[in-house]
Amino acid sequence: MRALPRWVLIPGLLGALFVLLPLVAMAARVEWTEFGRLITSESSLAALRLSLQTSLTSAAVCVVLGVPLALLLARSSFPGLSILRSLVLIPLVLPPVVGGIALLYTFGRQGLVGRHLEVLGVQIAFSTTAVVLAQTFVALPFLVISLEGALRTAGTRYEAAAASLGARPTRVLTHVTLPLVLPALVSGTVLCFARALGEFGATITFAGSLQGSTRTLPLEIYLQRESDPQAAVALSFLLMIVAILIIALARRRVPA
Amino acid sequence: MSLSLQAVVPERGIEVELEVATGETLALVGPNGAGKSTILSLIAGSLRPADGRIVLGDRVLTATATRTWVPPHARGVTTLAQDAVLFPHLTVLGNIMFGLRSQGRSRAAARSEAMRWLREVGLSELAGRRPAQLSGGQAQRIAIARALASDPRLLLLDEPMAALDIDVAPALRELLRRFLGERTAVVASHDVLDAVTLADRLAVLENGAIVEQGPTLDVLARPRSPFAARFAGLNLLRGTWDGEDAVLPSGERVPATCDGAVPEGCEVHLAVRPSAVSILTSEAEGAVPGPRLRRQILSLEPLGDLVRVRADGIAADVPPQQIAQQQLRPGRTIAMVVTEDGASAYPVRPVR
Repeated sequence: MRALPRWVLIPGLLGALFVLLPLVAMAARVEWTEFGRLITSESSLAALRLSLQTSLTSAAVCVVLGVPLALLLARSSFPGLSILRSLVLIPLVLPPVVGGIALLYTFGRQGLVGRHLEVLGVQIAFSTTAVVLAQTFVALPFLVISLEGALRTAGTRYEAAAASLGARPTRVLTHVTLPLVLPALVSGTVLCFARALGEFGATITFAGSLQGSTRTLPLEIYLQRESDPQAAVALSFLLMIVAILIIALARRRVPA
Repeated sequence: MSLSLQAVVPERGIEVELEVATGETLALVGPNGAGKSTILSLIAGSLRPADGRIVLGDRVLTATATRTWVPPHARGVTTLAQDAVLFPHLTVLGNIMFGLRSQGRSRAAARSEAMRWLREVGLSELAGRRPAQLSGGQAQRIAIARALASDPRLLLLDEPMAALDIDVAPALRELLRRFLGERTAVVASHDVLDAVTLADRLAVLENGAIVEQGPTLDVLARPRSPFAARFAGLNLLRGTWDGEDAVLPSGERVPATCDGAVPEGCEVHLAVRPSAVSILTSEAEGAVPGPRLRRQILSLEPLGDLVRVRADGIAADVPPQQIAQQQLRPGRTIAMVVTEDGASAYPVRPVR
C-alpha cells in the first residue's frame, strides 16, 4: 500500500465519486413526505411482490442448475469442455434484449421448444414463468463463474482423502465438496438474486409488462418515469436500498 | 490382507511387480521421481495402469485383462499423505468420524469409536478443535487416527513424516510403529528411519522398476543397488572374490569378511562402511601395511560430527581435525585403507 504513487489517489477518488454521486443525487430527489404512499401504491406493491417472488425463484433455479454445471466444468474432462465453459458465459456479455429475443425464439409460441409445449397446452411467453426464465438466463453465469473458480481453488485433495476413507461420490459431494465452497455458493446465489432483481431487457422482450404477472420492479420504474416521476424515484431508491443490503450480505458471508 | 500388484504405466516409465504379505509393512524406497507415489496411486485407485492387475486379499481391485475396476471409495484402501488433509469445515472429532459415518455406522457408534482413536493418539482434549487450530504434528496424529478409524484393509503411507519438524517426527514414527504391527501397509519414504522402524520388508525402486527387495535388515546390510547402499549409508563396490580379498576391476584389493562359502572367482558386491575407511597421506603410508586404494578427493561434506570425504566410488568418514591435520581438500591424491571388518563381500547373484 505504501508503495502507491500519490497521484493514484485523485483518479481513484474520482472513480468512487462517479459511482456514489448519482446515488446521492437520486436520494436527494426523493419526496420523503410522499415516500410511504408512493411505494405502497397498488401497482408498486404488485411489482415489488412479483420482483421478490421471481428473483427468489430464479436464484433457486440458478442453484439447482448452476451447481451441477459448475461441478461439470470444474471437475470433469470431455471434448469441447473449454468451448462449453466459454459459451456458458455468453449471457454475461450479451445485451439482455438479445437474450430476451433468443428466449422468445426458444420458448415463444412459435419457438424451438415452445411450439411443442404449445401442443401440450403450456404457454410460457408473457407469463410469470417467462419472467423467471429471463432472470435465470441472465443470472446463471454469475453462480457458475463464482462456484467454478472456488471449486478449482479448493482442488481435489480433500475429495481424494474423503474417497480414500470410503465415502461414496454423492457423500463426498454433499459432505466435503459443497461445504468447502459454501462461501462462494452463498455469494454466487446472492449475486444471482441481485442480477435477477435488476433484470429489465430480457424480461420486457420475452415476458412483456403485465401488472401483477410480468411487470417487475424495474419495469414498473421505467413505466412510472413517464406518468409519475416521483413514484419512479421512490421505487428506485427502494431498489437501491435492497442492492446495498445484498452487497452487505454477500460481503459478510465471504471471508477475506 | 495380502496385496499383489503388477502394473505398467508407460507414460511414467513404470513397470513393477510386488507382493505384500498379510500383516506385513513394505517400505517402498527410491530417489525422487522413481515412481513411489505412482505405485501408491495405482493401489489407491486414483490412477489406471495401461496394463496390470492389483489384487487385495481375495478381491481384484484393478485388472486390465478383464476390465475390472473398483472405484477408490470401495477399495478399503486408505492413504495417509505427507500433509494431513484434514477437512477444514469439520472438527477434529468430525474428521475422525467421517470415515466411520461413510461406512454406514450410526452417529453414536461413530462418535464413541472416534473418541477411542482420539485417546489412542493422545489428543482427546482436541476433539472440538478445528484443523486450522492444530500444529503440524497434532494434525498428522489426527490424520493417523482418521485413517485407522476407517479400518482399512490396506494402509498406504506416502512420506508420512516428510512435512513434519524433526523434533515431532520421532514420536509420530513410534505411534505408527505401534499401529502398523498387525496391519498390511505400504510406506513410501526416502527416510531410512521410516524404513527401519516401520517396515518388515524393503523394496528399492529406481526408474520405475524394483531393483531389489528383501527383509529390511538384509537389504540394509547387503545392498545390491546404488540407491539402497546410499540409503544404508554404505559404499557399494563390485569385484571378484579371490578367496581372501575382493579384487576390484582395477586390480586393487580390498580385504573383506564374507560369511558362507563364496567360491573363488565369484562376482561379489562389496559393502564398505565409510567410518571403516581410513585415509593416509604419503608421510604415514609406510607405517601401515595392507592393500590400499589410491584415489583423488572429489568433495568434502559435513556429516554430523564427521566429514565425509568422497572419492571415486568410495567415501570415508573422518573427524574434522584430521581434515585440517592432513590438509585434505578436493583434488588431492590420498591412499584409502579399508579395515577388514569394515567391508563385507557377498555374491552378486545369490549362491544356491
